[in-house]
Amino acid sequence: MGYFVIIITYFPLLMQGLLTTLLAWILSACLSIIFGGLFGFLTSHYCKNNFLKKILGIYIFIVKGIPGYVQILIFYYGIPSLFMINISAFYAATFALTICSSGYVAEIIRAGFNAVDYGQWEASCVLGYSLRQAFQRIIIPQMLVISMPALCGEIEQLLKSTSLLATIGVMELTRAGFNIISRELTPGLVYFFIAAIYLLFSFILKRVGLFLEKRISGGTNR
Amino acid sequence: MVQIDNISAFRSDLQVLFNISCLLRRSTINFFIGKSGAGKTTFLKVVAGLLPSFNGHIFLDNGLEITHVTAHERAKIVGYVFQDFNLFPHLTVLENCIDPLLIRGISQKVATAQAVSFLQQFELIEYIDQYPRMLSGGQKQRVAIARALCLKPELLLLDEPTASLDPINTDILVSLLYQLMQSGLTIGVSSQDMAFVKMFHAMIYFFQKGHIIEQCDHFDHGCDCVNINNFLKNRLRENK
Repeated sequence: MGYFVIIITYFPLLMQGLLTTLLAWILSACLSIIFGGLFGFLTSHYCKNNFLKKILGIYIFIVKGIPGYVQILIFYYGIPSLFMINISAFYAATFALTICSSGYVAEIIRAGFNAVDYGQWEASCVLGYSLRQAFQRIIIPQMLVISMPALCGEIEQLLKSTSLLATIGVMELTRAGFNIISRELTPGLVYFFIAAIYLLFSFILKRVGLFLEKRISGGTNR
Repeated sequence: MVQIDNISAFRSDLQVLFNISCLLRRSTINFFIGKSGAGKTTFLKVVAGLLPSFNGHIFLDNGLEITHVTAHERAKIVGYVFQDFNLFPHLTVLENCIDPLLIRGISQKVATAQAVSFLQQFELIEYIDQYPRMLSGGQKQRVAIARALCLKPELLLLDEPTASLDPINTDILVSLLYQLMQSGLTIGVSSQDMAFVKMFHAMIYFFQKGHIIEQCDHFDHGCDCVNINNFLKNRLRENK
């Protein structure tokens, strides 16, 4: 019974932590989709600029090759101390997660674009589509059908990575759990409760992902 | 009529077409034959505006030069049917045909009426709500032709149209092309299928290594062009 009392007593703290977690998640997810999507397009076969491709290839290699935790440490401790600036723990960590995730999103989107045959672009050309129309109506819808499952997986991964924010003192969900436990000295159900919250949001994301997949693919069922 | 003057084309600094000139008359079919790699497809792509790096000029019979018009403009003049059709897999047969009209601001009703009339002519009306992956090769090709014709082009280009067709669908294609020719369309076809070529009274251009080395306008009645006849013999031998 005592565990439930603890959770009820600290419920506001947990919810505040959840809010921070969700904020970090949504912010880094949106940004990593924007940047990752752009980088993915620029490294796909629809972009002919080889120089840009090489630069972005190096960028993606670097951000994918360094653990997310180390990137958070670099952005929170490394860069501020080198340039004598001050970044809040929340923004440093969210930015680090964005950078890290953008590499993975770029790879997913690149693979999606490359899976749409170049002939689709040529067909759009001979039928008089402008660049924007071709991408909006022909290429991106097909790319999304291919990329959506992997993209949802990456966004889910990002949700779980937000628990790394706890390590640099951001009061998000996991950190709120730490604090409760260190005050009450009883881990007990608190970790399970936190795990359940993460699971709940993973589940919601999964449903949204499936809905979007269905919506986008229409009747094509590829 | 489409007049093509001195086309030279390049693919990453390598010249692949050398001073190609030809005259495609109204209501005629014109074949571009030759081995693979001879430059037939490249030539069709240049005329359709898909290859940016080329020299030369393309005129219509009213003297209008279309060499460097935008893709949007050219789509109304030149229709192109790809070897593998390149239908849009996420759109139905009808949507494939009307989407290029809708982006031009033509109303859904007018576009649909226009597309339906072609799809009816091509006996595709019962497949109108199906997706391309549900169709056979011959049907896909007819959808691709209908899609190109919906924009009312003056010139229709087909790249190796018989490459993936069985004999029955080839016969359907032949009668279809005759119909289109009679309706005033100019047709350009790249092909290696000499049995198919022989079914038309056509102008034939023989491509070799990026040059037109022979041309002939009475191939169906027997011609004495050395290269074309050799090519025919080789093709027929390979088919046996």
